[in-house]
Amino acid sequence: MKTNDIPKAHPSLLDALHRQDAKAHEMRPSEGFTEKVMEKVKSERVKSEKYKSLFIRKIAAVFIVVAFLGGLAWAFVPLLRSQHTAEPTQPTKVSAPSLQGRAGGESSISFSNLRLDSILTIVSAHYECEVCFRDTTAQALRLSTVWDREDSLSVFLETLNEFDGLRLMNERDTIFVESLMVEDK
Amino acid sequence: MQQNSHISDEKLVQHIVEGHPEDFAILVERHSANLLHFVGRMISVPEEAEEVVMDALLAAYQRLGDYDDGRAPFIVWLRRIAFNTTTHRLQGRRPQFVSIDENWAEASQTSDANLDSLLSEGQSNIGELLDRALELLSPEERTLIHLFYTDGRPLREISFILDLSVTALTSRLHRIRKKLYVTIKRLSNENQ
Repeated sequence: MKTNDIPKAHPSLLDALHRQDAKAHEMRPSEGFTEKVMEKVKSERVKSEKYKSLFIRKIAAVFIVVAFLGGLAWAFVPLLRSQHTAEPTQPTKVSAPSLQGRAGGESSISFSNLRLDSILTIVSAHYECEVCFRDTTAQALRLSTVWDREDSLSVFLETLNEFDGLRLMNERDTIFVESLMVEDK
Repeated sequence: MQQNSHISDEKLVQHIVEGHPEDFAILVERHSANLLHFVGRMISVPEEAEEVVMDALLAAYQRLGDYDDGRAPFIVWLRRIAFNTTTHRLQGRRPQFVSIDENWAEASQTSDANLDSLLSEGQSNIGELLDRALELLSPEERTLIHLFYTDGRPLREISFILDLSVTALTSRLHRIRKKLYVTIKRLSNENQ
């Protein structure tokens, strides 16, 4: 539809419209109106910037968290990798040295092809004593044995002493370990 | 700010958006009276009309980045915001034009040419009746009839301000004329 579809205003209608419009036309902004608007605009701008900085802070926080988690993951990957590579190809089985006994209520723990220093670390913790290797040869010895935690330390040491070339003694709350193989040599 | 007072609205908007919010004062100075006149047609209390204009200017400032000078001149865009702000303010108020709508069945059966015939009859109190009939139009209808008849604005511009299609505007203008006719008749009968 075009504008000319609408009839032109009758002069009386136009007069009435102008009369009505005169009231609105007389309205003038009060003194200091622009300043009032600008005051609001200023506070609005500050608010917007506040939201903007809050948003940037949130982004930064997310970035830091992601970077931190990424760093942790990056640090753990080589650690896990080294654990995998450090393990010998020959299977070494620790049958749940301490936990299995507690969880299952069993006192016997079997060590299978485990280094002597590892075995003694577990055992000494139970008996609350120190371990002292008088020579390093014995440390890397691999043994398979069963330890009953309800036995005394002396009983367990006697068990270990049955292995050829190995001597263990309990003196002043310290397990002294000697390799007789060295002496033999 | 003084040096920018001669710049066009559109360039000023760009300048403000680029980081000179203080220049918005120039736009406020330029257009607040015009907007007050526009809003004053819908809200007759000057203080309230001024409040609405202030809200509209603030809303315009917030959306300044969205202004597209290819769609409408700045003042038309401002009027559109002012119109929306006003209608939002008036929402929920008891409309004063219910009685007219009650007569819509009658109005729909008349021709809008009847209005001109009635106005040409030379009734002595026709001016007063017309004033009262105009008062009973809805704010949107008043805005439309003033923009079209009083200001002589093109339908395309009014369409942008009221967010209505040109076809819808044309049919509304016809309807307003019919409503004025029916209202004048009713008021005339009440007077007798």
